[in-house]
Amino acid sequence: MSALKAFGGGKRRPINLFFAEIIIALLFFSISGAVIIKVFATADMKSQQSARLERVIILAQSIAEAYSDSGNFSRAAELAFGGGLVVGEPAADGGEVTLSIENGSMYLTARESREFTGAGEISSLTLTFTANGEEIYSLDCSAYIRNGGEPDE
Amino acid sequence: MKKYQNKTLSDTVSTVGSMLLFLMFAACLLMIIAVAAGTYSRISSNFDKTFGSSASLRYISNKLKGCGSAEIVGQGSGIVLRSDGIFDVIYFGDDGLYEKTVTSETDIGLSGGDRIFELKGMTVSDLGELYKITVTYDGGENSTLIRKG
Repeated sequence: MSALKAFGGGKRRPINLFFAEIIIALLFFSISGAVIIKVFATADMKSQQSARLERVIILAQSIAEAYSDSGNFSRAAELAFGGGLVVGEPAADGGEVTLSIENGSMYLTARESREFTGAGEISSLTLTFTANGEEIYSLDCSAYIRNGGEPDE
Repeated sequence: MKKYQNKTLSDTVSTVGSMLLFLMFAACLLMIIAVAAGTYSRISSNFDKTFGSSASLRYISNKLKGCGSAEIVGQGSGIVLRSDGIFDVIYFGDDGLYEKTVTSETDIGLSGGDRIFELKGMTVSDLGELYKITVTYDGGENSTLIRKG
């Protein structure tokens, strides 16, 4: 009874108990609302990340396909990104080239190494896509270039 | 009647306060539902656009890699994939990507196929040692390169 009185309740003012109950219910629903908004925001972000990863994977595969044909990264990148893109060739001794893609929201780093053998040249390329300083996808590919790219005798 | 007469000002304020709180709660709930619906709609739209186009690209790429030989038909709007005497025709038409499998060369044509993807356009181009497949969807396009052979 004293507890009821502390709420100002009891028989005289029962409406204050209802008021307290409403506040507790609102608090519960507010917390639930905050959690739901956070979940939806996370879902939206994950959806965008997933779409970006999908685009990046297709792009990486396209570059890898073109690179495996020619062993030339700049040509492969120009074919994959379309015309108008001037791409420098990475240095043969493990050099790398970084490209800004998708309006600067992502970076593509290409690291190339070449191994010369008697039968020809094996060229390896590592493509790494980064966004906000974090790696989002990486792909290794290689090309075999017979006679150093020169026509057969 | 007696009860009504006994109501004090604080009871009235308390009731109005409760109603206002409930109103605020209802407004917040509606806002959350609106935000949630918008987010879900955006996620669904992005999903359809991104994965619809990439799924069609992968489908054509895998078919192209698995076939014996390929020939571009219909000025790039279709491709005929040959393997073991079976012709698989994939073509764009009527806002969709269609596919049909025939056994006779005379049946090859860009009609009569089954609709496999909903798209706004599809072109296949020959870049020498590579094929370039481009699909167009609502709001953008996606393309991939496939090595011949």
